[in-house]
Amino acid sequence: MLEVDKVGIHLGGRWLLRDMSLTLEAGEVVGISGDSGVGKSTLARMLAGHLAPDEGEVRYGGRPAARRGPHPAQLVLQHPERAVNPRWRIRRILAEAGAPEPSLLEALQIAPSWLDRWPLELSGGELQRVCIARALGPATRVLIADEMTAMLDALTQAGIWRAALGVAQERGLGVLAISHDEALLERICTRRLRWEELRGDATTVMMP
Amino acid sequence: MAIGAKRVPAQEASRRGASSEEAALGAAAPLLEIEGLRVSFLQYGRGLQRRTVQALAGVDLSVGAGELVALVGSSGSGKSLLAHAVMGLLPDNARSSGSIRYAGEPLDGERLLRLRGKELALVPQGVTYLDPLLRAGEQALGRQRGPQARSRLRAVFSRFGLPERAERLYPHQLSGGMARKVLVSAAALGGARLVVADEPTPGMEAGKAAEALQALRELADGGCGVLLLTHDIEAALRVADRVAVLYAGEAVELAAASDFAGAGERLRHPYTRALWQALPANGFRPLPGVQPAPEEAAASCAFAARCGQAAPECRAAKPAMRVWRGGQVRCFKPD
Amino acid sequence: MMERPEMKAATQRKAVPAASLPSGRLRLLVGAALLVAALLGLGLWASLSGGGEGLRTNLAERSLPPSWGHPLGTDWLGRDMLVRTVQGLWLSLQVGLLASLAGTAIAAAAGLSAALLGRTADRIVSWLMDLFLSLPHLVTLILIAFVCGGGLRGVLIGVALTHWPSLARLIRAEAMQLRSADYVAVSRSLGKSRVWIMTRHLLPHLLPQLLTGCLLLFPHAILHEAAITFIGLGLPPDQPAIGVILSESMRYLNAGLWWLAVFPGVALLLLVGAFDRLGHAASALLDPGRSQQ
Repeated sequence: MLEVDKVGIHLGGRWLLRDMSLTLEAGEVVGISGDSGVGKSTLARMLAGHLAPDEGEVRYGGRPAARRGPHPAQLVLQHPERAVNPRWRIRRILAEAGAPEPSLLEALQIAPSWLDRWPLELSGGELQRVCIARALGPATRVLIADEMTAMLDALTQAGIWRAALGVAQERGLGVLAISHDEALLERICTRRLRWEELRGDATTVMMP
Repeated sequence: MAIGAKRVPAQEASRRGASSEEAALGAAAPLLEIEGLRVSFLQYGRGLQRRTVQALAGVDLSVGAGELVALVGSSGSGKSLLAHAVMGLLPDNARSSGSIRYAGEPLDGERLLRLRGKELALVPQGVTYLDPLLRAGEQALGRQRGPQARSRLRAVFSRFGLPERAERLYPHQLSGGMARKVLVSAAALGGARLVVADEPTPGMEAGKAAEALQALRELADGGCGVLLLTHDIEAALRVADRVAVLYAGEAVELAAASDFAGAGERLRHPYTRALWQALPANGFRPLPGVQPAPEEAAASCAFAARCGQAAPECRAAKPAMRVWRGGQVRCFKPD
Repeated sequence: MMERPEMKAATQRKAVPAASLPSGRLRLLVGAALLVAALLGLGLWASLSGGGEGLRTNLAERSLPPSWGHPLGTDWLGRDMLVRTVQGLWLSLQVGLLASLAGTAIAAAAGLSAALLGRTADRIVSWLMDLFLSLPHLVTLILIAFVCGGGLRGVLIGVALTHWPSLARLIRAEAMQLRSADYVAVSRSLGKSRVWIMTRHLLPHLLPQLLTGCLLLFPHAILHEAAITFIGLGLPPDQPAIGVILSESMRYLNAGLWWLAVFPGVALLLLVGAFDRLGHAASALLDPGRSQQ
């Protein structure tokens, strides 16, 4: 589903990350934890196509992502309010990824009444559900969650993750969860990796 | 005055050993007492629409000397407003009511101006509050100078686990955890007796977050009253003596940290219990529905719509905060 | 250091007027509407009274101080100063409008190309911006007006060419920030094209900035037009813009004809101040980030 082959990315002569490798199968939920500032978010952005790798290759289903059309890996970030255009209504935000399936909205518990509101008028948890719905378009194969619920309370976190994992399981998506919260990763993941294990090609190392 | 009597710096063991009854009622001399605090503010929507947003709709809590009280609420629930209300830093479009007392006397006007930045300190949410052009040591010392101040600085830094070289680092060279500790050190060196820490750990990796929290605990053990505002209940429980839980702008429960155990049998409010059971380590159980805005629940129990035990009376009137099993709870039918 | 939040709050307090009754925004909007109406009225009057009584030389009534017949007095040729002032303002207004529109267009083009066309474009535009910002406006203006041979064209080109850099810098910064916004990255990963993102995400955000920038440029443009006309490099005396009037009045000031300079000067100040406020009002209304104000 997702193969990351010795990728590296540099900025102004400094390598932000290098020699990172990872594989993710359909239906898997892989958790990555590690110290802050090591480049977890950079990796997430690169896998979702927001950044291009300077070396190495990322393959989705055996080949690089197409240049046109929706990227097969979609990223959901920590701050939903930054991930939506504040001048767009929710309906338009969702429509950017194509008209959303009613069943998807239902699974994520997005109430029809939200669609006509502005992002400012939704809570962080509600807005995050919208972002997840947008990320789960028909072309999406991998969902990358970078601290997706770090700013939310425990109840909202549990609700959002259960909904997102439900959709991912039903569609056989791969999920890559990046979080500082060990207990959360322990709960949601089928496999866990520590940052150090991504270096080189030690991608098959499993957590005990 | 009893307030002046500092509690002896407590050891971890004796602190946890204190009866939960006593701790939950805040038997230690209250340094900060907040009663019925409400904060609302005017906000513009698009163009000319303007509305009043009720952010806090009734918060009662107290913080004693040597005590660390955590106020837990989801992000956007008005925790920062509470911090700003205590410090008198509310923006001009905000209105607040209720009483805030420090050391037994109302905290306002002249007195607030005199105490703020000295006995009262705010550890703000963003580390961006650090001056990027000053070394950490100078930041923490503020206007204090001289060899005596230096040695105090060294002592405080080592107490909070900051290495000696940290004194000479600039903010951009500090990790998130270290920056927090510098902020806490500054409060300690400034002679603060009450410290309000606003969301000190978001996005921090577990180890770093624990360090930052430990610095606050140290501060409390040194005799300070500490009010910790956070959305992360696990983090709060690691260091707090007591926990106040915020729902829809109201404090719904005041419990001892030790009440959060097992399946939450000792908790009093159904929301607190749901929150506890939703933690990844405790069942990861979600609850349908969302927190209402405070104005939507002005005349009923704010949690009634999601509560499994809600009775007709819960939808007809708003319960008041009351003492219950050694803590406080805002519920008609507490467990 | 613990005082920093306090200081921040204090400065905010100063900058932001208290939310008073009725809504501060409504007041601003009404003020702006009144201003526009007043200006339209002014223009109408100026064009109607164009060849009328007021401007005819009337040596019998020359150099009269303000009176009921001539509220702003008359000049050394007996022309009514009220009519002259209004006409001068109207002319200045038109020049200012044209110049600030041209300046805004240059700023938008320069700012956007600096932000979106890559590093070389950014370097060139930034260098130009720095160059223009480092020279005093008036010096550049005089040079350009001189090269263009004075007159209306010289003033327009001069004002437009000197006033774009500050707005361009703002647009550039804004566009760069928007370009790296999370939702733009998401939009790209959803397969949207550059043009799509530009027109749907970036431009709607920049339009208010441009409008506000144009409005705020306006008073500068008028003032500089007046200044350059005042020193004789701008509009010719047969196009009596406010600068011409002020410049001519100076010769009679020491003869005690104070009203010749004072009233047109005050009128100019009021006009400039009004547009400045309109610009700030527009930016408050159009900026969702200022919802608290």
